[in-house]
Amino acid sequence: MSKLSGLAVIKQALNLFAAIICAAVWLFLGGQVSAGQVTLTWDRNPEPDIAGYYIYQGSESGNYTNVINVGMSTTNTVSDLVEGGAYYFAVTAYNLSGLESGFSNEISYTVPGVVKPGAVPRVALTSPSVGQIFRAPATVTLAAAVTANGSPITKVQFLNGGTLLGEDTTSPYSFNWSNVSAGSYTLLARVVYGTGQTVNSASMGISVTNPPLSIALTSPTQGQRFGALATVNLAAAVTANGNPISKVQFLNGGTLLGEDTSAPYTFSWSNAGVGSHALVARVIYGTGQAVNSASVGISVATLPPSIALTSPTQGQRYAAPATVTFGASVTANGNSISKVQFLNGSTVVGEDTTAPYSFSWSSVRAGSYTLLARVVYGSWQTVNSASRGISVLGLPAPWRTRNIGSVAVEGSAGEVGGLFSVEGAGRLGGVSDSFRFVYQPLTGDGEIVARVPSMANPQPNGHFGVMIRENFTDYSSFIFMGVGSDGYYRAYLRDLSGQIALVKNSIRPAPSAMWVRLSRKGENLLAFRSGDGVAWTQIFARKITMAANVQIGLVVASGSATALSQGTFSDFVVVP
Amino acid sequence: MKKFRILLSVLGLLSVMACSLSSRPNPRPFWRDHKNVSLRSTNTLPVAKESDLNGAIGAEWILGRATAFGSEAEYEEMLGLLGEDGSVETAELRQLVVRRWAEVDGAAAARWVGKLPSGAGRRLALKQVAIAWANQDLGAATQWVEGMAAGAERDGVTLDVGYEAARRAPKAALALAGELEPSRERNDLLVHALSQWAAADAGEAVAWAERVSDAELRQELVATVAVAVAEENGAAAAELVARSLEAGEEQDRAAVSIVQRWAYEAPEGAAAWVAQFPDTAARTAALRSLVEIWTEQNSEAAAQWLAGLPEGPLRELGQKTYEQTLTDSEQRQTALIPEPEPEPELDDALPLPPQEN
Repeated sequence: MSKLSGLAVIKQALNLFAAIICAAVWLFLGGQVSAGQVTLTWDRNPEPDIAGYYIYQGSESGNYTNVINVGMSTTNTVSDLVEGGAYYFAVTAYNLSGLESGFSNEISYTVPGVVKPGAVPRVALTSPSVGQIFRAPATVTLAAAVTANGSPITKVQFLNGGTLLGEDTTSPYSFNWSNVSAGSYTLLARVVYGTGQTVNSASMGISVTNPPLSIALTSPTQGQRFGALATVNLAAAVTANGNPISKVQFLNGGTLLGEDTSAPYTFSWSNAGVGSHALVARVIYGTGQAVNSASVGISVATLPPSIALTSPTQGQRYAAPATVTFGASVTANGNSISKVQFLNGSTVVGEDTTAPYSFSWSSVRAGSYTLLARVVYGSWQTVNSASRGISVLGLPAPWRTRNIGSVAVEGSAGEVGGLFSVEGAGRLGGVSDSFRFVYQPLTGDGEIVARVPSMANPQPNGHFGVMIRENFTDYSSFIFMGVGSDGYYRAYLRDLSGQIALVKNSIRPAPSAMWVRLSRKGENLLAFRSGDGVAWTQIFARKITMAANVQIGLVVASGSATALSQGTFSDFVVVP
Repeated sequence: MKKFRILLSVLGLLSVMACSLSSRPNPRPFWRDHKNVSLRSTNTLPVAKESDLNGAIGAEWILGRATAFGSEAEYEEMLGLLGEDGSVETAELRQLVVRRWAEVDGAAAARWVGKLPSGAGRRLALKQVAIAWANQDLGAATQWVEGMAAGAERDGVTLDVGYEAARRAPKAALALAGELEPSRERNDLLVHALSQWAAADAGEAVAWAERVSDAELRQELVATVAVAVAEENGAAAAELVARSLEAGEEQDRAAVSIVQRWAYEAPEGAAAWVAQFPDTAARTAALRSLVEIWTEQNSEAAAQWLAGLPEGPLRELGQKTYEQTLTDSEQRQTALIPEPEPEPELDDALPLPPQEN
């Protein structure tokens, strides 16, 4: 059933009840008891749950300005009537549920005597109640009962002290005084009648108070644990409710820790001692009143440090050979930190003794790795971070990679998103070469184009580029087109096995625009350079008798047999 | 006799210059001077005139003279004079003189090298004799190898001769490799030689590869042959890969290489094959290659094939590759560079960067 339906039912019941009571109650005039008094009598309502009766009184028919609750009595004497004044009365019954019947028949009564010349109306404030307390911002409903005493009533004014708040020209006289701020007020009603004469009611005092102020400790939280000598950050939220705030104090038990005079109210409690602490925030407001927050219990104990890997991120992907940068954040919790170790599974790959803790793990080959950081503290106790998985990707088919010639360090290669990362040692030239080769078969004619966007750790005489090579021997015939570590385009050529390689230097391009290209057409081998991968300049062309099926690919030669350099290649075109 | 005196004078000058250079940090041998060496083939060496003797003497001149020596004694004397100054450059020049000698008389050069003490110099000289002699007279070079004492030296020379043989006589190279114990180096020569044989006679090469008993080596050899076969017949190569290669990296690499070649000849056939690949990284690589090549050749046909693929990652990747290829192609056409132009001579004038030793 909807609310509307429910109300409808109640209303119906009320009407039914009123109808029953109207039929049962009959009002009689009992007669004058004395001057200014009259006794009313009515029939008892037969309903079993009747709880009492109201007498309605007014100086006009049907317009009752005064109500008297007489309880279960069926007779009542109304006093304070004015001689010569005409009065109208009716009765209602109400039951135990608070439901009220309709009016009984109306009885009129004129007090014997005549209205004395100069008789004045009377006015009384019927609302609010004397001493009533409101909460700011308040709406105070003022109402006044007027006894005209035969005078024509113009209006009723409502005043706060001498200040007019509002007025009403029709009965019942009332006024809503809204948005009343905190304070004490003296209210009265003033009836204006006749030719502008006025009569005041008795005055009435009320007060409007601000809502109560509240404060809560928002930090730390209940039960929070801290390491020894930790800094505990306290914060309080204050709901002022219009009250002027002087400051907020932070207390540990009864001991003042600190205070803050402006919002946001905070305080850092450093070197908190080991133990349990009951923290309270106290707001000082108004004229020095204080309100405390609820107490928040915390504990400070000797905790181990905590550590988290900040780098790399979970699931991060690299191209082999990768340089993985570890980063870790450590919360010492009062402990003495010796160092942070970085691990691949259970193998320590590096460590750092000073914050910020970091380590670059270089030359990481293709594979999946589970990394973590470990903080070493105190007397060599350790705490591990949560682990993170990363992937270092190898080469897509049909690429392979290997070292050519004699180098002291193994190179590697990988690809992510079309970007080939190649790391290699060695050098080109002379009668034999050494370098890292990323290759695939070239059958017959073919071509390779690549961009060299970056070179890392280049050594003197390092080279990064593309190559067509007859075989994997270090003295094989080949043609190479690339960029030297000195930034120049350079081509190398060994046209017969075991011969000294020839070199052709070219311009020094902008590092951001280095494109190289090799092409084989029959026995003709051609080398090109380009600044944009579109317009090509031929460096040279040579006729070399190579085998029909050879190898084509990328080359990184650091320039040294013992040091690795890394070249990154992109924008491939390979016609194998 | 006059010629020999001149040579001695030249060598004397060379020694003085070498000594002088060796006292400098990072000396750059004069025969690597940019103008002397850059892009001049040692096959077309100029012969120096006597009037050149007062000028810069290049390695080309020495090697050119070496070609004209008439007796073992002349070679031996020159090699003796070029002897051990410790520099890489002199050692390289010495190797090339040995090579010249071997080109003229392999047997004599081999005898001389055979008398050298063991070490890097002997090994490098043997390599030069092997390369030169194999190219002059493969049969004689092979006999020389077979006559050597077993050991690392003979194995090395076998490989050197084998690689030279592979270029024109791959079956001889395979036979030489067959003399070697299993090793990565031996297998490299087998793969290289077989690849050349497959270019000439795919059928025999396939049959040979499939008879190899070492399973791992057989996979590598079959994959090599399949790629070579794909140059002419993609369908046959695909059939070979499916028949003879086990699933794995070797098969993946071969499959992608085949698609790279087949797509040029018959993209529809390659496409039908790629569509059968399982969802692996190899399929991704193969599809990329196929669509790039096909789009360049016939974008409408490529688009039509892609549209016919069932919805899914294969079609998405194909369409992405197709669009990228079209974009790249348009960029190239916009540039309107019809043919690459040779670099002007001014590049030769650039200073040669230092060549560290």
